[in-house]
Amino acid sequence: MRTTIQFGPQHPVWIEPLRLKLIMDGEIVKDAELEAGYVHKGLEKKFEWDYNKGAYLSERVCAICTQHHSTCFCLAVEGTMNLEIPRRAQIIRTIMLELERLHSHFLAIGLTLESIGFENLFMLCFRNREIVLDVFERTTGNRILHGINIVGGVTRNIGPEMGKEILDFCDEIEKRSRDLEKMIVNSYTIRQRMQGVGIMSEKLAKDLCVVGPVARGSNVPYDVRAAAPYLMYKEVKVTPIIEKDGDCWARSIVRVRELYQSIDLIRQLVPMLEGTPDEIFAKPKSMPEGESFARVEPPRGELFYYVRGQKSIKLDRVKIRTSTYANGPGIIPLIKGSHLADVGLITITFDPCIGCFDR
Amino acid sequence: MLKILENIFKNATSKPYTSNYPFTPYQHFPGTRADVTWDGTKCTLCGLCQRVCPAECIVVHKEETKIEYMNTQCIRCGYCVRVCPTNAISQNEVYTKPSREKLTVFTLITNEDAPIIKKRRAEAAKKAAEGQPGETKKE
Repeated sequence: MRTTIQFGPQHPVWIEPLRLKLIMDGEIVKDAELEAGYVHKGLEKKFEWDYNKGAYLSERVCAICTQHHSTCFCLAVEGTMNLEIPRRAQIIRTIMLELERLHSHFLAIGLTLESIGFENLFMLCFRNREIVLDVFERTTGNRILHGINIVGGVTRNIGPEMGKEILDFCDEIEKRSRDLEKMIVNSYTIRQRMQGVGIMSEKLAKDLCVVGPVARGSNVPYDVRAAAPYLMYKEVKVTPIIEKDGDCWARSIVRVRELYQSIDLIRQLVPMLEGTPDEIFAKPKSMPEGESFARVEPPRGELFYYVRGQKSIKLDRVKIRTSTYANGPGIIPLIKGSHLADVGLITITFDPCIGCFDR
Repeated sequence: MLKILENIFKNATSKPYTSNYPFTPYQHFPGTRADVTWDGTKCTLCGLCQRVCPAECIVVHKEETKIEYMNTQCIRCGYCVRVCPTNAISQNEVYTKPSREKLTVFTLITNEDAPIIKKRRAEAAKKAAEGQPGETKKE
């Protein structure tokens, strides 16, 4: 007998609303249907205004990768004006991007553990995430919506004292992440629960064009930081971290290993601030004209902004392609044939951000 | 086994990680961007802050020489502070407590150099100058 189960829109696994219509045969999912659009805000239309305000608006698309969204928007608008931003601003932007990857991965790992019932480890992950947010508050002035990115540079400088503080923070967070890694990666129970669940083969990943840790967990070495370097990634080389298995465990391990990569990158970036001139803002000389696009690598995968200017302060069109939008179609083939108890775990290892999904 | 005992001892003797919230309030770091205030003696009522505000929470009433700031609507981006030509706007480090009502703050501008106030003063002076001779003529 077939039964239909409505998974969502309100489900404890996800923070945001997403609906899955599951057609079940006993415990096994036979068919699934994904429905999104519950938090559609119409932001792309709202972007057709002053481009200086657009940098603040782009942060509101997704509350977790705010810095990536505003950086990508600013890069796209700067592309339409042929504006080169100062080197110091580039370094500060890159440091913020890597810090944001840290806090987003802590959130993703914590939520994955919570979905399989380890609430204590979820709290430990969030305790570590809190000190990353403290660094954000000290450097940018706000915890989540930083608001330091503007078209032409950044608004706040990182002085030598703050640079030293960030390096101290790197030591602290690395020690804490090693502790956490010992607890999670060596745990027999977690490994048994997650290994072999929701396997995405390399061929499927390439067919569906998934991005980010989902692709890298399936042995597809695609990372925008390495494929099309932007900002300081031209100088600081990044090698994509890949895992071969393609199951939930591999996707989570990619995130854990990327934590250390981010810490390593911050350690390379902070000494670069020394000796660079104190200039952090270049005044735009012309209005946005023509079209341009930018790609960055948020914690969830590739993010794409397309901007078309009309030689006035107002923009003509902005198109956003977010990472969850690219990963969304990958959820359905993995759910088909899995147990009902695994549905939550499989979807949460994609790290879905529904605010990005619907825009 | 030994490791568990070690962990138990460590956790039993260490301080709690969380803070005792309502009794010890959360301390923001210096440089936090919070509420915005206007300096009435510096502002020239140019209206630039109203034009750049992304949240549209600033309304400049030129006739009443007042600035209306909707505190609960503000997103604390700091754009108005950056753009102000006379540095009349400052951002402090204290957040307003959450409230059920919309909170609106009015600031009265008393700057002598503000064009509108200057013009009014000149008009008043002119009127006074015209009025007095007129009165004397009537008499």
